[in-house]
Amino acid sequence: MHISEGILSAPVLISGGVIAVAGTIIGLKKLDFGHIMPTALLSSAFFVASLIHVPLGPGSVHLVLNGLLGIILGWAGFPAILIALFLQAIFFQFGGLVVLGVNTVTMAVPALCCYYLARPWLKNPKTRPVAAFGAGALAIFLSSLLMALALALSDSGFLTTAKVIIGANVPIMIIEGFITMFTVTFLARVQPKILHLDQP
Amino acid sequence: MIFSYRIVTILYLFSIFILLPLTANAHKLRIFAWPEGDIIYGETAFSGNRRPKNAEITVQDAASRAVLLTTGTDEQGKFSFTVPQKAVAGHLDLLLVVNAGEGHRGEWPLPAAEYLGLTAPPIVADVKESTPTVAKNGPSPPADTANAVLIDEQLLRRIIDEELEKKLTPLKRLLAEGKDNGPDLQDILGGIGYILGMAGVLAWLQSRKQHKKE
Repeated sequence: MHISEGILSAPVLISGGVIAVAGTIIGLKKLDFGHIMPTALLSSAFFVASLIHVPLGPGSVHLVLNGLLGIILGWAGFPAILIALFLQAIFFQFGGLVVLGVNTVTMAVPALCCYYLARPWLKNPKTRPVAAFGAGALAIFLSSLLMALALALSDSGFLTTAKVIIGANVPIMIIEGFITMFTVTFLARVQPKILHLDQP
Repeated sequence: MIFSYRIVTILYLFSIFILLPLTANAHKLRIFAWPEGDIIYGETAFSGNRRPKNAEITVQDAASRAVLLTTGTDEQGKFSFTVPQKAVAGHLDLLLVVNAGEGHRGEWPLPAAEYLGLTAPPIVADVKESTPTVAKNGPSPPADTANAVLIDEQLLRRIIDEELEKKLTPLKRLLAEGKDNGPDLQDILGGIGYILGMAGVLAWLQSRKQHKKE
């Protein structure tokens, strides 16, 4: 899910950077005292998740966990993902510092979408598993779309790129759907405060 | 009851952080190439040794980034190509770029010195240059034998070069693989520690703010 350096054109890189910075500033403003530790934990989980390689499908794909991160963190997902990607670029040479902005946007924007789309359904214990599964899968789907868009704006046709990336990520969508579902139902039972479902 | 829930949560998080690195498997795209004669052979792999099939390989001039040649990998992620005439003539340093689509890209520099020694037959040219010095130094009769010795020396040098190259190739490959061996446990733990440290700093700053308000 990381775009390497040297592929994207300058306008895409710059607009990605601007959106990432704006999102991060909003995220940090909204990050209050009680949410610092959950944010750090999910940021760590995101940081490590990319090492889990799923040997299915045509491409080389790994876990992302941005759906789970999104429904718990909302706007704070921006700084969480930015820091995790920064460390991945330094330690693992995934992505790169120049494409940091674009990679942050391709993963944090879907996370935020999941936050707004899935939260109303998460409050009801009956719809909770379905909503969580949907958020986990949708986040990967949207990330694939955004990534295809970033690649298409720099280079080749959007449709073919999108088809390839989404096709490669179908196994991940299903796996992340289940992971998100189990984690959210588990947290709702054990540590409902982390989900802060009582808040609007 | 609350206590046992807490233990379950801690165990859950703990197991995630401990188990994840065990299955560590990156997806960085690696490329490696070596010359044999005037053909350059290469291999590509995602770390974790999955091979990209039919990935695009472009051979570029390292300085100007002009594309000299495009080829592709086979089913095993291997490729080979003949050194372009333009590169040999201009003594160009090459840059091999692999692009497996989906934003995966890797580079391998191949300096001119690495492949030129084997492609350009230096014997004739060198002898022509050296002959006058031999003629100047030595008296005329032994010039022929000196020449023969010189050719032998050049030949020998070339043979040794080729043999060394053959023997060193697997070593170079090992080194290239070792360099990209993927993340270590240190990297992973270091990253997690870094994130938690940042959270600590943030928490400290916010608590200071709250204290001031009170």
